Amino acid sequence: MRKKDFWSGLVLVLSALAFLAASLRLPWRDTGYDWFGSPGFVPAILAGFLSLGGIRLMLRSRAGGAFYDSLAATPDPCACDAPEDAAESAGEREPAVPAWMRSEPLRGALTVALCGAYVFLLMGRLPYIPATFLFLAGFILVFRGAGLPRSGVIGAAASVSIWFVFYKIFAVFLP
Amino acid sequence: MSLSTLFSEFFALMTPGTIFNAFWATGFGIIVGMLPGLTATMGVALLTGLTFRFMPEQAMVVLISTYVGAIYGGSRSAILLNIPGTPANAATCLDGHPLARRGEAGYAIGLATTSSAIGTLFGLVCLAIFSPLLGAIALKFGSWEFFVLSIFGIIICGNLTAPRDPLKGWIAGIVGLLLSQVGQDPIQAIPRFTFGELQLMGGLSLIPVLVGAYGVGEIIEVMQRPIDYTVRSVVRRVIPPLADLLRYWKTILRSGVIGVIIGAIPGVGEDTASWIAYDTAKRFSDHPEEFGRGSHEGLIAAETANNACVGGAIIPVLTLAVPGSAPAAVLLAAMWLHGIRPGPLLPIEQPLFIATVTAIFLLSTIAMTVLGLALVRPLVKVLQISRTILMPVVFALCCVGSFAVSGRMFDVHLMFLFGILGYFMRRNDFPAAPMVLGFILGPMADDNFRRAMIITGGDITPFFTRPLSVVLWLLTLAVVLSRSALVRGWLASLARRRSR
Repeated sequence: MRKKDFWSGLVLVLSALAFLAASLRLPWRDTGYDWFGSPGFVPAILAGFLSLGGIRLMLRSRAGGAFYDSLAATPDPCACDAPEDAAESAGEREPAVPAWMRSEPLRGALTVALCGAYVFLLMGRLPYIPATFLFLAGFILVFRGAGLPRSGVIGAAASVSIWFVFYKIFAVFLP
Repeated sequence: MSLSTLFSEFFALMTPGTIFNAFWATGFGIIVGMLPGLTATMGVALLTGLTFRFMPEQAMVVLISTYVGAIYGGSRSAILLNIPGTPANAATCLDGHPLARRGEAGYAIGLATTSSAIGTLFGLVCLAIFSPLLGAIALKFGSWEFFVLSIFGIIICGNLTAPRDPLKGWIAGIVGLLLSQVGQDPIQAIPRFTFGELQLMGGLSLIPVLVGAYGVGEIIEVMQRPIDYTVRSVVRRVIPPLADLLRYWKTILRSGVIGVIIGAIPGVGEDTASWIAYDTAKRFSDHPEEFGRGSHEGLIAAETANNACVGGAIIPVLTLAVPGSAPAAVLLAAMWLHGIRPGPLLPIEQPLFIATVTAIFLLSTIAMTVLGLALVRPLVKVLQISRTILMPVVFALCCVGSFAVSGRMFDVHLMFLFGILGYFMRRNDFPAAPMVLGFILGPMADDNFRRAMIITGGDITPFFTRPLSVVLWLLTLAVVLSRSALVRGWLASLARRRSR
């Protein structure tokens, strides 16, 4: 977490400086009010506080060994999965998944890539039903949720159902 | 609000269409809540876009029923899988799952259902009593108080949602405040941080931001785990004897009060309420050793508090236009979308609206209890759907929900980008709730701060001298100091001296 905090702090400081620079470029005079009526006033203050937060995070990650030790020693009050319970209740539902797909970063990246492809490449370029069908069937197939025929059937049924329920019944605009 | 007003509003809701909407939306909420990875916020945000064409009252019925159902529904997966369906049910795992492992899954579900129903009823009673009272206080708020209130909300929300490292909670709040500044400023309509992009002139829309941060972030997180979940517990008797509940009346009452108070604090929400109620119940219990090993009292405390919190979270929404929790923030946005203006003037502009909301709560509590007790086995079947099938369908629905509000692909892209941001925030222990709260309170903070400065000609002293502002600053200071190692050490040494 120390390393992550350092990089998070750096990103925050850089973002805050970008916001500060953009705030200072907004009109501060001739707004009809004094300088405190400027649209850049509040964002500049917020950017200042954000950069302070980021600097604090960076400094802590460099010098706060005791803090990270105490953090590691304190149980997360918002977690409830006792290891033995998790093992008891969690079973392997996807035995056909190959070994390379058990890598967490890879699974995360694959999810982002598939969702990104749907949002940026399929939606708006193809009609709603084919675009959603391709995404759903592809996603299920890639993650070995079902074989090719079943993925296709689920993809077709789900995309037509969404279109029918939301476009025909709820009269909602679809992409 | 008189009882007769409440009941007349309740009976006015008793049309077949409204009852149908309340039941399907509660059922939808229960399913959303019980599926790990889908949260109450996401469920309400999704339906906000999808009920855009509904009449305002019917949209409120759908959204409130979904909210109530989702907070309750999460207890199912907590009991059966030891995975909380929503963060609000994390404390339920501790005693709910050991009960299921002892073969008392049905009994635990029944206990959770009745506790949730009692909690929701407690919340709605407080909503009916305290909303008009808080509304009367809110009428005394000026720009100074509204600004200090937004700072107070961010600080306390950051503090409670990141209990181990509040600095990250506060940073997330400031990020939300900064992101809300994108678009035309509210006083002079000067574009800020828009880079000449027309789509950014109106600012970043709330629904895509919420759906992205809570929904898409969660989808990535769930899909990342290499192992799926499965149900192994057997469900038998469901309805718990009344005597079992009466035995814990003190715990129920205490947890209800905690739930409502935590709910009314801006942005904090049901998860914190259930943890605090659980911890308090353990401290006051005659059998604290049973907690974590299948204690009925622990399960009742957690489930009563998280559902009582729903009513509590709506109180500041209606009276101050400040959300008490993340799903309440979506509800606030939905009210704005439907032309309802929550805030101090609501009782004047729409005198019956608070009674209508309370009546909707009553209807959704009935729907939740009926569906919760009647559909135990069919709902367990839902948990057997594989996440590899469920998650892409949920993502497709997230896209529909984000697109539906403004009909812009830009909002879908925004949702996706906020999903990635939300995912990285989780991985780095930054809570999403303060960011979302900051995003909602940002325009209020900016507008009121500058307005106050313009009124006083640049004098900042009224921010620190007006009585209500002083109270809010003192509370904020107490929250910040409570996290200081120096103050905690001093308090600990004081306690040690007293014990001697």
